[in-house]
Amino acid sequence: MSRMFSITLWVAILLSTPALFLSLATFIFVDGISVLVNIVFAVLYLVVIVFLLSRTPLWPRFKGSGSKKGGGFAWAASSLLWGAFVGFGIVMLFAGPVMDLTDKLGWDFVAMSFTGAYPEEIAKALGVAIILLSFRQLNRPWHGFITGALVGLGFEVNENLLYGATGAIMDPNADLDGVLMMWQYRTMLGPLIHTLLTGFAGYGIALAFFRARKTVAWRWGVAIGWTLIAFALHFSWNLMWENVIGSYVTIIVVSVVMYGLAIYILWSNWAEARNDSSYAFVPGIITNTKDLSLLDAPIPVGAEVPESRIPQQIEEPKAEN
Amino acid sequence: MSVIEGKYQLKPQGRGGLWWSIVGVAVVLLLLPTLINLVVPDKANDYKQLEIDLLGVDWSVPITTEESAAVLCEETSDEITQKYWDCNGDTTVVTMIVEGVKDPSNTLRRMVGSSLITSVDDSLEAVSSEDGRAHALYVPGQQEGSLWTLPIVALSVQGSGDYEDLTAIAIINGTSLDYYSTHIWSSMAADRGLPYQQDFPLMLEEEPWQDTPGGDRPFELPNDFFDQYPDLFGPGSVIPNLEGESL
Repeated sequence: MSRMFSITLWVAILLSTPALFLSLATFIFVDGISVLVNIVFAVLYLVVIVFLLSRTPLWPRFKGSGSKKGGGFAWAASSLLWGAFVGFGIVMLFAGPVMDLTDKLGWDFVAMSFTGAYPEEIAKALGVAIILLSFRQLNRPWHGFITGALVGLGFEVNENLLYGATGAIMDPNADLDGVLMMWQYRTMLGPLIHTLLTGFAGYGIALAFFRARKTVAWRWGVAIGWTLIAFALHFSWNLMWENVIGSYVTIIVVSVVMYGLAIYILWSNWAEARNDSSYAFVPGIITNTKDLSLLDAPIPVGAEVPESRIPQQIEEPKAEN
Repeated sequence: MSVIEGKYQLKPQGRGGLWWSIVGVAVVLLLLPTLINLVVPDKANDYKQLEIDLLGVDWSVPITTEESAAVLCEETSDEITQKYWDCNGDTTVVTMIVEGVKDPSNTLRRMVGSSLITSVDDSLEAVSSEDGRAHALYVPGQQEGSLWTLPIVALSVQGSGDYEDLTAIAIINGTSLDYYSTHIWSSMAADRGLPYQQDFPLMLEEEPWQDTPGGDRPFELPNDFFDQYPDLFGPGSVIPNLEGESL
């Protein structure tokens, strides 16, 4: 774990705890049953999605010697906490001026696009970058996708809780009706939107960090490019259409691109992730010079940019049949 | 053990520089709108015709005078479901359109509570228009500790045709309560095809502060207040007992 990034990560999480109380404060205005239903839905959403993600081979494996027991929990928890509270806290600080600016400029149509997508995608992507550099077991592009998905999931669950509370308060008939309507809306229309969008940004950031023999420009380009895709989809989703057809077309186009891209990332990385044996789960410590020499991987012929040799991955010994 | 392909690398080198690069880019991007916002001048005002509407819904209730002139207010906050208006500098009007109202009294109480963040007595009931399509609720000024809240009027009108399931609501709170309440109520009647001139169904208090000492509004202090209570503004000062005294 890189100390500079891990210290940043945990200090930021500590500093964001007031955001937790802000989230809880909304419950004051909602009746007890509705608060309970809201929390149950949030926990279910969280547990089901984390469970499903953890069943994929893209989920980073923290087991093995050399890594602390429970490191996987710290990674998953910090990812969710960053999304839910640090990301939320950053948005609380920086969204106001964006909203003010769009109001001054009379940009009503894109007001929620800028106010929502701009600070939120930056705040979440920043978290993914810091987390990827805080845990040494994270070393593949798909680890960035899963880390991003967890950061986005934390943000999404917290946002859904807040939307649920707002729905309760704003419902014309009853708090519970509002909570149910809001969760129905959030799970039927654009489910996992934050989860997937931050997954895309995380995938690009991890490509930038972990692909070998790439130029600095390529790394910045791929990280910013994937984050821009997330921003563009979020921006489009939040457009304030005055006519219903515009809204429907946007929802359909964004959904096709977003879910299509998520399927592509899963599909294109699935086999490699399943067969990957990175240094994170080396079966034992290195005890001889022969094994040590293997850490210095040869640079393949035709490499684009020669770089200083750095330790590469050691494969788990294949079981003999 | 064997060496794997060199497709991937471990963590990038130069952590200090990388930390500053990542955090620096994020901070610059986050601060950029704040800096631009500082140099973009404020709008002179955002006065427009007071109107009850909702994004994506064609039906709206414009508020007019009897002569069909637009009633103007400054739109101070345009949230997705509610709009806040500053009218005449002394009155807040909140407008919204909601769907599926079952009990107009309950809805008006709930909307007053949510839009003005105040508690409303559940026993308060709205009065209905003759055709049963419009409702009006009066929430009297209340004393909460040493503070008094101004009375609130909440008005609603049900849509017709394609908008039968929608209800337009306006909540009025401020010293020009009478003017805006009556104009909105009449505009709601005009929206239903009824004459503009309508009897307002609520009895608004002429002087909501009649029970307060002296009958003045509590926040209107007499000119000699500071002279009367010089100790109030010194170190360790205490609030004087004003019971029975005229402010």
